[in-house]
Amino acid sequence: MARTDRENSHTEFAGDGGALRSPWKMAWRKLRRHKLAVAGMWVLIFLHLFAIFADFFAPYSELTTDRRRTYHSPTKIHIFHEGKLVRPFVYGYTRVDTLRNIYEEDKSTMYPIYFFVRGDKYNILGIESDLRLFGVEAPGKIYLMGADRYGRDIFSRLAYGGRRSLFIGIIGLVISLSIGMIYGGVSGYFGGWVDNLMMRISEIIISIPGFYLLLALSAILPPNIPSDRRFMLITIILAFIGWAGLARVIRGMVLSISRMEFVAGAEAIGASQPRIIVRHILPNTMSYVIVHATLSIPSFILSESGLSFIGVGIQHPLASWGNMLSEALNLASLTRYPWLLIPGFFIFVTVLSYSFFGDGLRDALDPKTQT
Amino acid sequence: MKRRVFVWTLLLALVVSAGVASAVELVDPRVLDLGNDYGGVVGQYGGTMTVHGGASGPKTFNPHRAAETSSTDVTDRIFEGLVTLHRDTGLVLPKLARDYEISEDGTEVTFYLRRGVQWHDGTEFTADDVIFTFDVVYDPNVGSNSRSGLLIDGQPMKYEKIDKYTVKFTLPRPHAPIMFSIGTPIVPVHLLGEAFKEGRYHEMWGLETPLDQIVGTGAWRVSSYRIDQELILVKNDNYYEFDEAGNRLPYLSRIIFRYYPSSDTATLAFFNGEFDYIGIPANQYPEYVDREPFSRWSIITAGPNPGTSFIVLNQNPDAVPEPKLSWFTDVKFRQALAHAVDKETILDMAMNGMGYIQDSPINMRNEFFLKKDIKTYPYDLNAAAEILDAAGYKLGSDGVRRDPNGNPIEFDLITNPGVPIRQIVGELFQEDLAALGIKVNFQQIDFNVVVEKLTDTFDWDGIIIGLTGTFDPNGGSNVWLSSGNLHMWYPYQETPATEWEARIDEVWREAQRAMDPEVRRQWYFEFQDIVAENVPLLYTVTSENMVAVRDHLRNAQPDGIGGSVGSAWNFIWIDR
Repeated sequence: MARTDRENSHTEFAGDGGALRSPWKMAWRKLRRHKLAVAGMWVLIFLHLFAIFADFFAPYSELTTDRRRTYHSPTKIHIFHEGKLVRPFVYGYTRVDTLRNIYEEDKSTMYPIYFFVRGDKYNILGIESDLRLFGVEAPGKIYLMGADRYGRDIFSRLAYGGRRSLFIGIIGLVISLSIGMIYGGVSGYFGGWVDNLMMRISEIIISIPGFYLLLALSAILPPNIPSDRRFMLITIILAFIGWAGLARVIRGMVLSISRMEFVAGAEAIGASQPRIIVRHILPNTMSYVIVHATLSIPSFILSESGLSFIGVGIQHPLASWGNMLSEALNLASLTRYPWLLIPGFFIFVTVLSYSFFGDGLRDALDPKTQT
Repeated sequence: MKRRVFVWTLLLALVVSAGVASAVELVDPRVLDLGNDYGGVVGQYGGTMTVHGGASGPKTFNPHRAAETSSTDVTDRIFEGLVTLHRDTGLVLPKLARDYEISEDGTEVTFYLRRGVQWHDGTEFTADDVIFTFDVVYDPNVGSNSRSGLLIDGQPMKYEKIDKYTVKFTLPRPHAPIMFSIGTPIVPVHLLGEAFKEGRYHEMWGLETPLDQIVGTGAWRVSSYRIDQELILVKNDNYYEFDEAGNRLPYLSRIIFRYYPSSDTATLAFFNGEFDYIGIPANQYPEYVDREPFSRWSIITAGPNPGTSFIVLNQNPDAVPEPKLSWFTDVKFRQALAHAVDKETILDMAMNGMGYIQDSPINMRNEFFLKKDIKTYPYDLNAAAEILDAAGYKLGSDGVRRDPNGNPIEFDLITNPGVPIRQIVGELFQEDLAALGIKVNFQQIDFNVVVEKLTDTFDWDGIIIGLTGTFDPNGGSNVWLSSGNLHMWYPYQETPATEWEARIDEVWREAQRAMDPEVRRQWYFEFQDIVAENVPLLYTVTSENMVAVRDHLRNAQPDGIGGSVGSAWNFIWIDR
């Protein structure tokens, strides 16, 4: 039975079956029943939007420092002033203890929170703007999640850092998926000594201790390359050691798919080998690939965090969740400035959401589970 | 017949015992007046003290192979020199020598050795050991760390044994700082002489050597070592130092070094009562202050740390391409950048304000040589911009500053990760220079790579690094002489590249020749003025030296020359 199922799914996927329900719709229905997966999906959508539109959501740019507000505690938002309900506002703060960096509210100064304010300039998709979701008037400061050592707003840096930490996974995945699918497809389709050689090569790559390779590679990156290119290079490095595992599974699937009738059919009508691999065989591995993708994004995110945490990934002052978390790597930060751990919480939530979502997706895309 | 044998046996026994006794009889004990000279009190015997040994333990027990502090911290307890420095005043005091004499013209130094001092194995210490030690130190194959300090204009001293207890050194020219380097650890000829002759000295007394074979004259000997975990020193029962009441030192029976890789772990271990004292990293100071009132230990602040932290720009014409070389060799450029170092914020962020702004290359503890009224570069971006403008480095309308030839100014700045102050200096400097229109690419790279660039390949633009300080200014010879190996901005020069470097070379040599401290001081004052004017190193800040000491530990004051408690071990005691 499984065999027929697979063929059905093939024909429908290829788009030429007039079935009542497409497999995507069925999958979506199954996914919706999976409450955790849906929750994970919404969290991920929210986080990614937060990162993409960081310029809008963050009250400050990621580089805005304030040297007199080292380790500023999160500012409290008030709605009552002298017993009266007013527009939400924050008080000004003064540093009462320079040794321990303790800040106290100065009740004589009030800074109302305004929405859609003009703040630090930014440029998104070629559009220059300075519109930000919320903010307070200078010299007031709003630190929703406190400040780091340089007086930079953690909340803003989380948004900007998310761009790197979240998208490193997606970009890296696209690269490693492309390599892995084509490599596995070619290897499985041709078989024989080609397969043998290609699989041995992929085994060599799998057996390289990834994190140490990353350490070595990122150490030799020259210091003067721009930070965005550095980020891309790290992504590519991550991708290039991540594809081999996928390639092996794809190769196994292709090996069995390529013995099926529709492949023989395609060969009979004279389709070229690359066309058969790309158009006929690989689409049948798609459900596995999607699940694999969702479940392996977290490993990219964690690798980036790990690298940045030990100081060889994304470099200060640019934010990434990993290098923000490394600021919390000492006794004083843990006991006195616990808000420095918030990036760790974001990493945790993201990875967990991807896992839930991936689990749900696997169940939804598996043709063997019944609707 | 029987009686005769008995008498002979008795006589023989007498002779033997007398012979042994005379070989070990201590004629010249070293008496420390704890009350008057060291601010201490006469103590009680016994007890074990546990200290934090740092991140890792010794790599060797051979004092002339030990290069890093993790090894010398231990070998300095086992081996001793002819002279030592007073722990508070820095004055030269006889140690294994009972006295010394410097000739009128300053070219001859005669040491009279303490008679009856024993090596740990009971053999007597004599002039032969001293001669042997200097043979070892001057042998380039040994690679002793003391060698460069004992060369005068590249020449070794002559040294000869006058008698069993007298050694005379002859210098090629008067050299005042020699007394600060001549106290190199003395090693036993009767145990190492053979190996030295066979050219195997550098292989001796590594970690694989049985510990009872490591023999010195010091107050301590190693009894056990688990590599990078724990090292135990036990006291030398025949040590030649006594307190003013006639008690043989040291008081403590054992000292345990424990090694922890991170200073956070060490701090927690101290809070758990594992250590008897610990040096407080400035950035952890609040943790200690908050716990002090409820704890049975006290914080002692002990003045500026002798180490330095600075930014240095590469002026090496063989390694730096144009136009960077013209910028870095331009004194106006360096002066402007010195104004862009926000020392107060660095102090605040890296050390919670527990430290000092540094302007002079002289160890801040050495008040005598430190010049107070030198040119300083307070943080002032406007002043920096003015100097740059005046020197032709103009800010364009695009916010980029360009040199007189129109090249945008941009350079790399590197340091090693894991030292918070260097990261803070780098990030603030990068931000401040960005405000001046100068782009700095700041990156943290592996320490070994930084050192390799600094000492070997020279391909760097700017580095943030530090030096450990010595008490006497002459300790900076390898940094300030233009031929020095740590003359970082352009090392190993054959002839000085600039006039001011040539002048520093002259001033430095004059200071070495001057036997009168007052004259020496004037030379070092001029040296400090030249450095302040030409800013080859952009100094930042140095931390306050702070130690947390358990209340039961007596005589455990940090010393005046480096803020270290270690120099008091011979007379620390535990009050029960």
